[in-house]
Amino acid sequence: MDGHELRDLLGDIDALDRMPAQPGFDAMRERGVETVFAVANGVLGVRGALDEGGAASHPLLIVAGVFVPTASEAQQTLLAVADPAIVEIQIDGTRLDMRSVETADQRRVLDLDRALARRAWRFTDAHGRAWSLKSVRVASIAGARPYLHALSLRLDRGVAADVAVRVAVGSGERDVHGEVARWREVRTYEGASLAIARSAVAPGWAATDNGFTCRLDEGAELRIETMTTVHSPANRRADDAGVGLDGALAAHLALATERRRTTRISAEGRPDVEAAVELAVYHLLAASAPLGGATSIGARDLSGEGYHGHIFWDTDVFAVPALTFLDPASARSCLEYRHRTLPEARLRARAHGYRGALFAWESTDTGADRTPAAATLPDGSRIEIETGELEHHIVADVAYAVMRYWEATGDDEFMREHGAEIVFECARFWASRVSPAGGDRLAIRDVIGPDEFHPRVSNNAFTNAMAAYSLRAAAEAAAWLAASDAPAATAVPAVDPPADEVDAWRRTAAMVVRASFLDDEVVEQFDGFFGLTPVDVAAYREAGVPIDIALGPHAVAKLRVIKQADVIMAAALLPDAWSERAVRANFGYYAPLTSHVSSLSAPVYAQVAAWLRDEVSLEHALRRVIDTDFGNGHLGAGAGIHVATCGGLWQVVVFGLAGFRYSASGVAFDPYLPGGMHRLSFALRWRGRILRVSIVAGALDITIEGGPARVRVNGVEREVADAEPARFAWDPRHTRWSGMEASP
Amino acid sequence: MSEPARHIVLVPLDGSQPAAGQLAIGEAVARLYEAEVHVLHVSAAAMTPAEVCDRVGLPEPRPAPERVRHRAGDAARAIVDEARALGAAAIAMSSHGETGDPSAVAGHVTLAVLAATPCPVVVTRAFLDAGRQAQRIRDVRCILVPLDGTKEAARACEEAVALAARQGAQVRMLHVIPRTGGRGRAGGFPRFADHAAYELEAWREEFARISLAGVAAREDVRSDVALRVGDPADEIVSFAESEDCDLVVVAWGGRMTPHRAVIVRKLLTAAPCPLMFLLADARPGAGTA
Repeated sequence: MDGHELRDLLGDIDALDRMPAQPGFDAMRERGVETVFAVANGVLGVRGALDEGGAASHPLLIVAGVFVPTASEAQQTLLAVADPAIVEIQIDGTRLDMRSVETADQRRVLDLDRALARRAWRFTDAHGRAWSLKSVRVASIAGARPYLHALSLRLDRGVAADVAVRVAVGSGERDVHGEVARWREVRTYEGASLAIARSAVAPGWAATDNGFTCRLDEGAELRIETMTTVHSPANRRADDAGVGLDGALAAHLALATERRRTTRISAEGRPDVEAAVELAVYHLLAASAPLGGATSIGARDLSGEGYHGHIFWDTDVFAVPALTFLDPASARSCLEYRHRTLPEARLRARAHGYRGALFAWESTDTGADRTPAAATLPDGSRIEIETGELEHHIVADVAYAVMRYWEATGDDEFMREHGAEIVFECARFWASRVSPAGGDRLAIRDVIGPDEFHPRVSNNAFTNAMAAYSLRAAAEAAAWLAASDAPAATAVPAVDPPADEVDAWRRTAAMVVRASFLDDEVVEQFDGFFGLTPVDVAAYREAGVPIDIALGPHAVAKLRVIKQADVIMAAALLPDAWSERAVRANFGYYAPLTSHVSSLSAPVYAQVAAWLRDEVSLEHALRRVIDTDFGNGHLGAGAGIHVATCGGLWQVVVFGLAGFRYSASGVAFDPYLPGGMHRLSFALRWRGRILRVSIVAGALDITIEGGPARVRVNGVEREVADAEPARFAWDPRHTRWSGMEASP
Repeated sequence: MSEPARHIVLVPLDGSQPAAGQLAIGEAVARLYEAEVHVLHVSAAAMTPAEVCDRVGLPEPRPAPERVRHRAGDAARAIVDEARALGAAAIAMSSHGETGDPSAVAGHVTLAVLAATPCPVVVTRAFLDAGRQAQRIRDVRCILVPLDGTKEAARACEEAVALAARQGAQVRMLHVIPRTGGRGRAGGFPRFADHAAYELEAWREEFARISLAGVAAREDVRSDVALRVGDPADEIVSFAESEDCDLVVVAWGGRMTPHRAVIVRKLLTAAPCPLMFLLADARPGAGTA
C-alpha cells in the first residue's frame, strides 16, 4: 500500500475512506465524474474515464499549451487525444463494459495526499464468474511529468476465461519475451508527441496483431502498466524511460506528499465546504506547473475541452491569487506567460489605436486574441461577440495579478525581469484609453465590464477602478525600480519609464471617474444603469434559466439585470477603495440584480458576504460555488473543471472566512466562521515562509516556518517568531474595514 | 443486462375507430419492432376470436385466431395486464376510444394505459388520418425526442436511437429553454453557461453526450440537438410540424393531475404525427412532461 511501485497502489482502496469518492456508475453523470476524478500536472491532463471505455465515456489526454486549428468560431482548441491507457478487453469474446456485466460495486477515489486517482470495480459476467478490476492513474509532478497508469483484472471466482486485450499499439515497436510483454510507441501530433511505454504481465499470454490474449484461471490476474510522456513546447524534458515507471512514481510521491503538507485545508464541522475546497485546491494544483511561461491555465483547466482551453481573466484574477500562496512557482509561470505574450498584446493595442499592451480576451499560444467573432442563437440568428474587442479590463486584471503576486512573494527578480514591464505596459494602455469627461475628470468609454449583458457602456465601475489601480500600481513599481540598487531589469526600454510618464500615471489615476467608493452610496455600475428597465431576476435565477438565452441579448441589454458580480467584484479585489458602509449598500443593491449566469459570480459574492458577516448571503453563494463542479452530481463539470471557481473558492475560505490580507511588511487576519464550522485550518506560502493557521471561535493560532513575521489579528499586531506557535484573540464583529487606516 | 424477447405488438380495438385503419397502424408499429400484431378486445362477456373480429369490425383477411385476444374487466387494466403477460414490445392504440370524450386530450382508457404501461405505447390521434399516420410510422425517417437533461428523457432518447438504428431514421433531440422564468423546475440546461451565447455549440454537444450517455455507440444513427426558446409544449409541437417529424418519443411520469404533464396534454391535442410514450419512474419531479 505504501510502496513506491505502481502495482502496490492496485490494492484495497477502502482505507481511503476520507478521500473524495464516487461510488457506483451513472451514465448521465459520467462525464462530470470523469472531470472531477481527472489527474493532471500542468503539462497534461487525463480524464478519469473508465479504463475499459464505454458509451458514456469520454477518455481524453489533454496536452497543455498545444493549440490546434478548429473549424469552429473558436479558431483554436487545445490538443486532446485518446487516452493511451484505455484498453479494450474481451472476456470470452464479449467486450467488457458496464452494460455487459452485473456490477457488484464500483468506486473511484481521489487520493489527495498523493495526487492520484484509483478505481476498484467488482462485477459478475454473464457466466456467473466474479471479477475485480482495479486501476491507478498518476499525472506525475516530477521529472518529465509522465502519465502513469496501471490496471489489473483478476478472476476472483469461476471457471477459467479467455481474455483478449487490445492495446492499440499503432505503429510502435513491440518487445515480447518471458512473462512480460512490452510495447513502445511514439504518437506524433501537430505540436506535440506522446512517447508511450506499455508492459503487460499475464499468464500464458500470446501476442495478437493489436495486443495479446491470455487465459485466466480462478485467482489469476493480468496487469497492464503504461507510462506516457508528452513532448511539447511546455515540456521539453526527455522522457523518463530510463527512470522506469516505478522510479517515476517514487519521484512523484515524494513531491506530492510534500506539496500536500502545505496546501491542505480543513473546515471542521462543514464537510461540504471542506470537501469542495480540497477538490478545488487539488484541481488548481493539477492545472498548473512552473513552466517558465510556456503556457498558462485555461478556463476549464486540463480536465475537459470546454472553452477550447482558452486562457481568460479567470486565470489572473481567480486562479493566480490562490496559486500565489499554494504554489508560487506555478503562479509565476502564469504571469511569465503574460510577459511572453506582450509582443502580441502590444500589436493589439496599436491595432486599436492605443499604447501599451492590450492582452487577448481569449488567449492561446501566441497571445493573439481568439475570441469568436460571432455566435448563433437558438433561434438561428447570428450575433456579434464583442468581448474580444471591448472587455478591456483584462489589461488591469493582469497588472493586478502581477502586483499581488509580487507583494505576496517578494519575488523581486520576477518583478525586475518580467512584472514591471507588464505593469508599465498596462499603465500605458490605460493612459491612452481614457478620454476627457469634463473638468479634470477622465472617462473610459465603450467597454464591456464583467457584466457582459451590457456591451458598449461607459465608465463601468469595475473597469474604471481597476484601470486606476493599474496606473497607481505602475507608478509604485516604477518608484521601487528607481530606488532599487539592482541593475537595469532587462534590455527592454519599456522597463524604465521616464519620471514625467510616471507622474502622468498618478495624475491620470486620480482623475478617472467612478474609481473610488468611500462615499457610502450605491455606485451606478455604468453610465445609465439606474435607468434600465427592472425585471424579476430572481424568477430566472431560481429556475436555473439563463436570462440572456431566454430573452435574447438585445432585450437583456435594456434590463436592470447583471450577469455576474461587477461593482461587487471591484469591492472584492480593491476593498481598500471602499468603506464598509458602501460595500454593504452596494451588496444589498446588486445581489438581487445578479443572475449568476457566470460561474465567476458566486465566489465573489461569497467572499464579500463573509467580510460583511452576512451569513445568509454567504451560504447561498457558497452553495452555488460548491455546486458548480463539486455538488449537484458533478453535472456542471462535464466539459472540464471551472478553474476560476476553484481559485475563487480558495479565496472565499482564506481571504473571506479567515480574512487574510498581506503586504510586504506582514500578514493580517479578521476571521469569521460561518454556521457549523468550528475550526478552519490551512497552510499557505508567504514570502518564503510557510504559515500554518488554525482558527476556532475567538482564537487564531499561527505557526510560521522559515522566518519571523509581523502578524495582526483584529488590529492587534505583534511579531511571531520562526517556528514558535502564537495565539491571537478575535471577534467576528471586527471586520477587515474596522482597522482600515492601519491596513498592513 | 439482456432484454426479454419483444415480438408482439398489442393493438386494443373497441370498435369505435375503423378497425382497418387501427390495424394498419398496429402493423406499422410491429414493423418497427420486427414483431407481429395481436388484437385485443375487452368486454364483459367472453368472446371467440371470430366474435371479436365481428365486434370491432375487422375486414377480411382477418388475423389468425391465435392473434386475436379477449379479456374481460376494466379495459385499461386488461390492456396493461395482457401486454405484460405477452411481454409485448409495444402497444398501439388510438387517443380516443369508444367511450372517449372528444373534448378531452385523450380517452380515459388511453390515459390509464399510458399511466401504467410496461412497454412503449404508440398513440395516434383519433382525429388524424389513420392511413397517413400508419405511413409515417412505416416510413419513419425523423424521430423527435424532447429533452430536458433528465434521466427519463435520456431513456426516451435511448428508445428513439434504437428505433432509428433499425429503421435508418434520424433522431432530432429538442431542448426548449423557457422564455419566462418561473420558480418551478426548469429542466436540464447544463450549468456551464458562462457565456451561453457563444458556448451554445459546446453546450449542444455536451447536452447530446449527456442525453446519449446510456446509449451504446451508434455511428450509424444520425442525431442532432436543436434548441428553441419559448413555451416548451408549443415549441415541441411547432418543431414537429416544421421539421416534418414522423414520430415523437416522450418519457413521462404517468400522472395527469392539474398543472402536470403539460407537454403530454399538448402533444395529445396538437401533435401532427404519432406519439410514443414511455413510462418513466414516477417519482416526484421526474419525467420530461
